[in-house]
Amino acid sequence: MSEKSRILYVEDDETLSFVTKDNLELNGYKVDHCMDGESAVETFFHNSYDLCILDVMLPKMDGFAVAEKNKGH
Amino acid sequence: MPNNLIRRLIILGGLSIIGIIFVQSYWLLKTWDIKDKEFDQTVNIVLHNVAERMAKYNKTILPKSGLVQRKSSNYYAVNINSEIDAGLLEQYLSQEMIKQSLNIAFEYAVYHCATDELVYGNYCSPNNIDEKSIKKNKKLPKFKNLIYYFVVRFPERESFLLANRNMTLTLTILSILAIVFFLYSMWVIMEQKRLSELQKDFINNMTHEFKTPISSIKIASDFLANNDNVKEDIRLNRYIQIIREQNQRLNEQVEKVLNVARLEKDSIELKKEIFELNKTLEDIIKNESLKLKQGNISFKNSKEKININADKLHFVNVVANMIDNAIKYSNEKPIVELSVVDAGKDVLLGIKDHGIGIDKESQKKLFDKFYRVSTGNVHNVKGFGLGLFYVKNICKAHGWTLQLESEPGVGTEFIITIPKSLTA
Repeated sequence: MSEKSRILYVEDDETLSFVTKDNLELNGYKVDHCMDGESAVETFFHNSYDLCILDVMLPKMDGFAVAEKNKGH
Repeated sequence: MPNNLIRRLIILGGLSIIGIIFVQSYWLLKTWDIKDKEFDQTVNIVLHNVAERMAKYNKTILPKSGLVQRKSSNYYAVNINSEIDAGLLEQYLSQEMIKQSLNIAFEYAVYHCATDELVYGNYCSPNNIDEKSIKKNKKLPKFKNLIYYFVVRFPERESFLLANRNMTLTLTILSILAIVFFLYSMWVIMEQKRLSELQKDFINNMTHEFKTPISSIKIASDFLANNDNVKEDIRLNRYIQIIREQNQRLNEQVEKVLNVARLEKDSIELKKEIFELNKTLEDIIKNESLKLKQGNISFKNSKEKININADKLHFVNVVANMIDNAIKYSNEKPIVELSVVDAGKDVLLGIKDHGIGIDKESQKKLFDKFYRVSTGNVHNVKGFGLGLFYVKNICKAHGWTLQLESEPGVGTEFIITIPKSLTA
């Protein structure tokens, strides 16, 4: 992955989100973070990502449903 | 289910089974006995009538005693003291058996004194059975003390007696099925109890095992937090704070599980004290409001001061738990309303939210341990499902009543009825 690689990170725990995002950014990735399934689908729809890291148990929509919706894009 | 109850259930069940088996066996043997006597009497009548008709035909006199002798359960000898025509005998036997409604196959033999042999007569069946399929017993036993006699054997006596006891057999089978079902239920109960204890032990051991590493992490992170190099580095400092906060969070979760384990293990020891309700509730609301990012917690207190006699620590936990739930299960702006109503001897403490509400089916299980309303993988609210189990147990230990009123989409209200303390 190049330095410009973009990652969408979906996790509802604030602390874990902070630590993971911080580490990914330290390693040169550009990370967008979403707190729930619905906003993840919305963000994914309007942007282009190289990787999507999804939690399964999420508010509003679970990780599997998000993955299914994002498959088309 | 408590151990004592299970033990009593097993003992009572075992005694009932022994009783049923005893009564059933006694009844079966008794019925068999009666049926056998009935069969013997009918056979005796048949053979007497045949002997009388033979005597009348031969114009002889029958012996006064020992005319019909039962030699075994299905074997009879008839001593008639006159010559016997086998063809006539078979005709008489068939006719008399029809008269007495004795619908059973028989075979007969006639003793021939000249040759000292028992000459096999025939196998006669009331139903036209293929004779080849029948095993004929042509060697019937002789009797030295008799001179002119014939013998009759009923090879199907057992099946004939059994066939006339359909009702008894059906009831016996039903009893056996009931016993088997009971034993199966007992096995299921014991298995469930074993699994439940296994689960309880596992949770208790696991949470205890967590306590040691949690303490180690706490000591290590406290040490790091006080290190000058760490203090100067913003990122390291932030990470240390995360370790400490998360360790604290983990510790609280473990404590919650252990508290519930304690509730189940022993009767709850309450350290009761008298305190003023309105003031205590205001303090709780102040603490809980700090956790709230949006919305608010309102409180409608009673005009007069109300004292209650309760374990203050548990009471605070109960109210905090319920406010936490009200916040968690509300939409983005939680509005929680606490109220205290003076109801004479009692005081009604209400905790109301305008959240998502609870459907009727889930309301029944809401206070069960580990119960959470199923939402699949969608987790809008996180938790163990222990909060309301704790609340129910504490209310029960104090003798308070806990009511729940809820409607999906409208909100939920919990009302706890607490007796007032008359002493200040």
